Order: sequence, then C-alpha cells, then structure tokens
Amino acid sequence: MGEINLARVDDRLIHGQVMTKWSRGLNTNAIFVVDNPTAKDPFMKEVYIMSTASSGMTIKVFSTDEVVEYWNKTKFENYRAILLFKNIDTVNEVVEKGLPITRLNIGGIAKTKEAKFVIPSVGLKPSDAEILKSLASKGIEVFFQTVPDTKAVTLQDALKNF
Amino acid sequence: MKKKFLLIITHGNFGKELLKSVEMIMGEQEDAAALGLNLGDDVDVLRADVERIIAENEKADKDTIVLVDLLGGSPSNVGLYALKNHDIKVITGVNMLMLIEFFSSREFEELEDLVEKMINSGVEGIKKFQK
Repeated sequence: MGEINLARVDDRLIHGQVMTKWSRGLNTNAIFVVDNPTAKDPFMKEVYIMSTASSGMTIKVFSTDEVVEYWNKTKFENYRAILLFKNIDTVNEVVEKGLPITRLNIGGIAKTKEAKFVIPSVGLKPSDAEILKSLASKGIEVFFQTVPDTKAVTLQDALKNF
Repeated sequence: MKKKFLLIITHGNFGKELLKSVEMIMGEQEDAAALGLNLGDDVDVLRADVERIIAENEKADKDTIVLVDLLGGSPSNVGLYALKNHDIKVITGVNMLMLIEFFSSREFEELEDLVEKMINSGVEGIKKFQK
C-alpha cells in the first residue's frame, strides 16, 4: 500500500522548491499533480515529465476524479507520494470524495486583491480561509510554509489576520 | 540571416542582473530581454509576457532563443511550455559565457549552430583549479 507523504497547495505545481526541497527528506518516490486543466493538457504533462526525468521520481498527473479512482483501486500502489494542488478548492473536492489527506501544506498562492499575505509566498482569500477551517475540523493539520527551511505558520495563527 | 533575440527567464533578478553584467563587458545589446519570477508573482502573468515577446519576435521575423536557470523550476516550465506554440530554442542552466557567446556569434552563425556554440561555451567555462 502506498501513502501520501504530504499534500501541498502550490499554484506553480512542480517547480524548484518542490523538487529540491520538499521531495527530499520525506522518503518520497513520487509526485502526483492533481489538477483538472493540467490533466487535460498533454503538452504541460510532457513539460513536467521531461523536466523531472533525472530526479528518479515517478511523476503522474491526474484529474480530481482520476486520483480518487486511483486511490480507491490501488491505494497508490507502492508510492510514497507528494500530492500537488493548484488551489484549495481542489483539495477540498478530493477530501470530500474520500482521499485520506492528514497534513496539508499551503506553500504558494499568488496574491489576489482580496487576499492577505500569510507568508511571503501565500496570499489567502477569506473564502479559502473558510475552506481551510472546515478541512481542519475534519482533523487535517494545515500549515503554511514555503520550504522546510523557512518558518511554518499554523492555521490558527494565519486566521488571526481575518 | 534572420535576426536572433535572446530572452532570459529566471528566479528573481538573476537574469536581469546577468544581462546587465554581460553588457558591462560587451556594451549595450539590442534584441535581448530578461524576465524574473519573484515570490508571490503569478506564473500565468509571466507566461503571458513570454508569449507576447515571442509573438512580437515572430512578427518581426526574428528567431527567439530562451535561456532559463534551473531545469524543473517555474521559469523553465514557462520557457518549455512556449515550445507548444512556437518554433523557439530553449537552453537550461543559463550562465555568463552563454550570453557572451550569443552576442559574439549571433550575426554570423545559423540558429542551430549558435545554440550548440552557446552550450559548449557555457560548459567550457567551468574549470577546476587547486593547489
């Protein structure tokens, strides 16, 4: 049976921070991107796969329904995976559909007008803060951190801004 | 021979400063630009900037060579994604000698040869010295 080492929200999906920092140290052997637009974009999939070829990790790109089905059918085989999401809505969707996420790292969300910075790489909208509260109430540990070497902010502290 | 445009895409101001440093050696250069991605920036905005520059080059009948810093990083993802719709060249691992080679040779080398020369120069500049 496989396991989910970490779920991360990062609107850049696979990039330097993920490959050089998060994937090391957690004994990770796979990165699963969960994003409906990317799953429908063969060229973007190709870019991710050719960019990570020398990493020794397995890279897969799923739609939300595909990743839930893959978990239900295979329990992720023998993969110790990092799950990457572009936004918090998508995490909520797969949690509601039964994916057993226990730790959720919010690592990168470009700031929009109504958002507030929680850490320099994350702008959080009030609506996203509400979703995170609801995820936390289901027992998911939510924390904000760009890379493992930087300071982590708990959801409780982040919500003080709202 | 077609004119050749150099587009550098990096994390932070690395590319912009690299271009400035090379211009310090070689003088100001035409047909060169650098874009940087900073914490909190939207990658889609960067992607749109890259698209716009490449499209302008195509309109002006110029070839574009894209140099990015780290294979697998966001600037590299953006550069490689531009291959979907554009006939461009992308080189990873940008360094000073690649730029110097580009500016020195772009007027008399064909595109393919220029790219090879840039990669060779970039690698050839790395030497070890010790006591």
